[in-house]
Amino acid sequence: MTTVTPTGYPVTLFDGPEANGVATIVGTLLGQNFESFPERVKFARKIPRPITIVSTDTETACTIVLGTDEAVVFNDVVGRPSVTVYATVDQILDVSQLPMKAGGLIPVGFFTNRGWRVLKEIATRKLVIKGLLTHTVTALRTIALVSVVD
Amino acid sequence: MSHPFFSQEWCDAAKAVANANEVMYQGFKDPATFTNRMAFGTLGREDLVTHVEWKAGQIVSWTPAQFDESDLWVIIDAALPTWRECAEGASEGKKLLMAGQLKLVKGPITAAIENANAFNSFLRSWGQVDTDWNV
Repeated sequence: MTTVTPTGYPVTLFDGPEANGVATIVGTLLGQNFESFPERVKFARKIPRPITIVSTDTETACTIVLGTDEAVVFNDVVGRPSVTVYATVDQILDVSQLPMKAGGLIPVGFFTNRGWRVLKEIATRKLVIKGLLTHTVTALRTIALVSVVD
Repeated sequence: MSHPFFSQEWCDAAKAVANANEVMYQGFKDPATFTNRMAFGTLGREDLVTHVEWKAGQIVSWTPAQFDESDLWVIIDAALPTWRECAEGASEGKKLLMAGQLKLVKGPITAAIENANAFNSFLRSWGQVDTDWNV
């Protein structure tokens, strides 16, 4: 296993040097976000089940498991994710630039040009967030966790 | 005449091409504040490393390795065939990053995300340099 950043809430790549590209990027992003926005740790701990991100155009996936003391990012699909995001690289880049407030519960980013574009992709099922309706809060928190915007 | 990849003459030619690349400039989140030093390395080839110094979204210096690692904001490594793939437009840099073929060794991932379009266009502009890839 590889620990991406030594913070109070470290993010570990379960597969270490064998981590795939999306796991490495997501792990690095989470680790740097927890350093830049430590308040996100609080709501990260409230996500009980795994979250999976599938990069559809690179055909790779990773699963994030958010524990009490650390986050672990696995290659591929692990466990029973409550939310699974199927997105292209461009869609992942768009989603990760949406500003979200209150741990994602106030999704202000959806009211930007980029946000409208993301909503349109969701509506036309070009971007699929499985669990968006049944685990809405977790889906919104997921976006907030990967957002690079304060 | 083709220039050996990452040689000084290649860097000079690539600098001229990149600085004339309006799409790249427009792709920066905030070109006015894009001032930093970056390294591009080649996996398995310690001799093939280049350092690029940016000031306000324009390249002011592009040379073989010259800065200390501590002075570098971002380090990105890839295999030689991957750099060629980027330059020739066979694949986009942002997709290769997500596929793990471009490796962010040092630096904020936020920079790569927010400037992904500029980064793509920057790498694609390398294809305009007549390059000798047999290095």
